[in-house]
This record gives sequence, C-alpha cells and structure tokens, in this order.
Amino acid sequence: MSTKPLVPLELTDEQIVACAGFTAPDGATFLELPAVLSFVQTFTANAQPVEDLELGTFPSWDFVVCSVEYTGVTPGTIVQIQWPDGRYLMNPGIDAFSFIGTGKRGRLVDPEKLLRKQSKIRINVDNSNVGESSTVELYFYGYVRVPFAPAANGQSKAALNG
Amino acid sequence: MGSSTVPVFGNIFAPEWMGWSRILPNIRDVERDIDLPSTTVPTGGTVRNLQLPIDTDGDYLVREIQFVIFADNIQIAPDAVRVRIRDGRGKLITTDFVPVLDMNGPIVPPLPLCAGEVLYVDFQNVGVNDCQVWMTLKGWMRTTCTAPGFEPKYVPMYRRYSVPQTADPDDFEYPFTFTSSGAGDFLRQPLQTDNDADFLWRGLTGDWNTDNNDVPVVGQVALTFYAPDQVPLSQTELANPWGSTQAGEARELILPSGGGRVFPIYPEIFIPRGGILLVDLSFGAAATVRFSLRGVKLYGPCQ
Repeated sequence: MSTKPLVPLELTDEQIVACAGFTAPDGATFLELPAVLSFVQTFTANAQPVEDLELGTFPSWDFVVCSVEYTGVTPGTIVQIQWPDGRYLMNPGIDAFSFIGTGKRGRLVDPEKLLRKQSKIRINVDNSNVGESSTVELYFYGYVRVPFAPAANGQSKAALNG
Repeated sequence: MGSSTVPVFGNIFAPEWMGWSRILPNIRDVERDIDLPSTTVPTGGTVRNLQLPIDTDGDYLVREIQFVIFADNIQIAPDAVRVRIRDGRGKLITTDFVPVLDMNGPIVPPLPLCAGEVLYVDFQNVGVNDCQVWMTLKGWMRTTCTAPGFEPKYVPMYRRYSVPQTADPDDFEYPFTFTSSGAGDFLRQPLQTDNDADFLWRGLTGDWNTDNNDVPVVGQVALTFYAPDQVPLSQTELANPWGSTQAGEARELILPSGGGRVFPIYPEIFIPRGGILLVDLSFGAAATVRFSLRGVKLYGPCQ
C-alpha cells in the first residue's frame, strides 16, 4: 500500500474546456451526455384522433434533440409533434411508419432542438383510418446538458438555469 | 462554438454517399458496385452461407448496401425479410438477423473489406410468401498508385448552406398526399406553406416501396416540382412509360423510399411565409404518392 499522502486534484481551465461539450455565453460549461426520451402507447383500430398527449422532458437538465426515431410497425398512424415552445415539427402530421425510421433512416432534426428541463413535448396521434391496433413507439435521441463548471464571474446559477 | 451548432449525426442535407472530396496521396479510389445474385428465400425458411467475394486486386470500402425484393406483386411485410452478414473471418457485421429495410442505405463510416475477402450472407424469411432478394454493395475499390494528393475545388454540400440566417431557424416539414384513381396528368398542383414563418426548403422525403404504399411496378408516378417563382426543378422525360408528355422525374428518383432520410434540394429554396410551391403529378395508373418538404422555418424575434 502506498504511504504517500493524498493529493487533491484540481481541474485546469484547459481540462474543463476539453471535457465540456457546451460553453454558455457567460463561460459556464456543461457536459453533454447521450440521452433518449421514449413515448410508447397503443391505439385501438380506427380510434378517434387523440391530441396533446404529453411527454415530459428531463427534470433536472436541458435536453437537445438530434433525431426522432420510430419503431412502430403499423402503417398509416399519423403522428404530429409539437415542441415545448409551441412550435410544430410538421404540419399536418405524418405517417410515422413511412416517414420516420431508425438509425440512419431516422428523422434527424437540423438544427438540433433545445428543450428546457421540466417541459413537455405534445404529440397528436390519429389512428382513425387504420383498421388495426397500432402501437406508437417514438424516441427522441439527443443529449442532456449537465452543469459542469460555473461561470468565471460566479454568476453560475443564472447561466446554469439557462 | 458549442457542439449545439455541430450536428452530432452529421448534416442531413449532406448525404453520406457523397464521400470525401479530398484525394489521398498514393491512393486510387474507383467507384465500384458488387452484387450478390438474386436468391430465392422461401417462406419460413433460411438461406445460409451465400458467398460474396470481394475482388482480389484491391480493398473495398462499402458506402451503401441496397436490397431489392421481388415478390411477384405480393406484399412483403417490412420486417419479413432479414439478413445476417459475416466477413471472411467469421466476424458478424450485423448483430443477428436484422430486417433488410433497416440495412438499406448508406453506411457511415464506410465498411472496409480486404481484397479477396469473402462475405457470408444469410437470409431469413419470416413472412408468409416466398420472395427473391437481391443485395448490392455500393462503394469504391482502393488500390495504391504513385501520385500526390490534392484538395479539389469541389466543396462538400455540408459546407454549402447558402447564407447564414439571422432569423431563428427551426426544423420543419410539410407532408402532402395525392391519390389518383387512374392514369392522368395533374398539373400545377399547389403546395401551401404556413403563414407564420418563411421556409427554407432543403430536402424531400417520401415513400414508395413500403407495405403501406406498395408500388408493384416501378415508375407509375412522376413529379415535377416548381420553385415559388415557377421555375421547374427538373426536365420532362423524353420517353415516358405511360405516354405522358408532361411527366417529370419518376418518384423513385427523387423520393428516398421511406424513413427519415432526405433527398437534398441544393441550393436551398427560399419560400416566403404563406408561399406556394407547385408540383406536376403524372400517374401511369391508380396510385398514391406521398412526400414531405423538409427544411427549416425562419421565425422572427416575436414568434
């Protein structure tokens, strides 16, 4: 066993910059970690359209959406996505089976969409023209921004809260 | 610059198949496609150990895999036909059998295969009908040569956004569906955009070979899009299978066959808020065509 005393480690500014994925305008830095929000719900055959289904974002961190993906296997189910800021991703809805895939066939979002923590994505689903039950399996791929180092001027709280 | 401005998955409007424009020194890359001959896969059955040899005179980089399924006009469910691929050393390229639908398309980064290597391909059919599967590797053969590298003046599409926007851009798409009960030309159909923001049209998506929008004969629908100033974006085909003199490009040429992949519109086209695009639709038979205009809305400061 080593008898050397413990040495407190300190991160240099350079290390912080190298590790952090995002730097706010005031200098606060954030780690960016991959994250996924998923939405799964089954709709019966010819079910009437359902509006404003809510999907909560992460409670503690802002989330940036890079890609929307879909693994449902029933064609014809119309899905419309509304971001927490009220803007829609599409108008009207789209047949998610055919217009949203997975992986490289995913529906990439460009520019990426920043969703504030504790906000809600709204989803409208229309299965009324589909004669069979349909499970909507929707995934929002992206990353969360975890506060990593405060701003140099000490005003970290404001910066970290965006 | 934070990573929020650098798309993690790459730029969807700069297709992966465009490859690198830089020419490497002492390397010669030549476009090359390699086919696995069409194979019958019986319903409920598995065909194993189909061998696809790579040429012995050069390494090969796969940039795209394409599967074409022939089923005599019988609908094949999207997850019915699956594939498993191993390289010549027995290493699995796919984790197990995966639907060919999900394997269709570009590979990023390219999959490197050594000269003389043999791929082993297994097909599985969990559907209720026999079908034939044809697999094609698209990519380039890499050999050595004595030549300097150089940087051509070609600029990749991902560096060619036209103008930095001062407005607040947000990804958006406008889907449209048209159905015809028979052959005919429907000219100058309006595609209305929203009034709340200008739109930069940067790409097209659309399906044509899925279970839901099955097209037994390729080439039943042709499209010509017009910019807002009514300039057509494609020429009329000289020879058309159903005799139309108004038909544009076959939808198989400009719609990327489902999923979220984008057929790029470059340079991007500015559509003022509430603006209208026009499209000519030519049908060779009763059919439905669906497409989506992809791009970004440009919101103002108070929107």
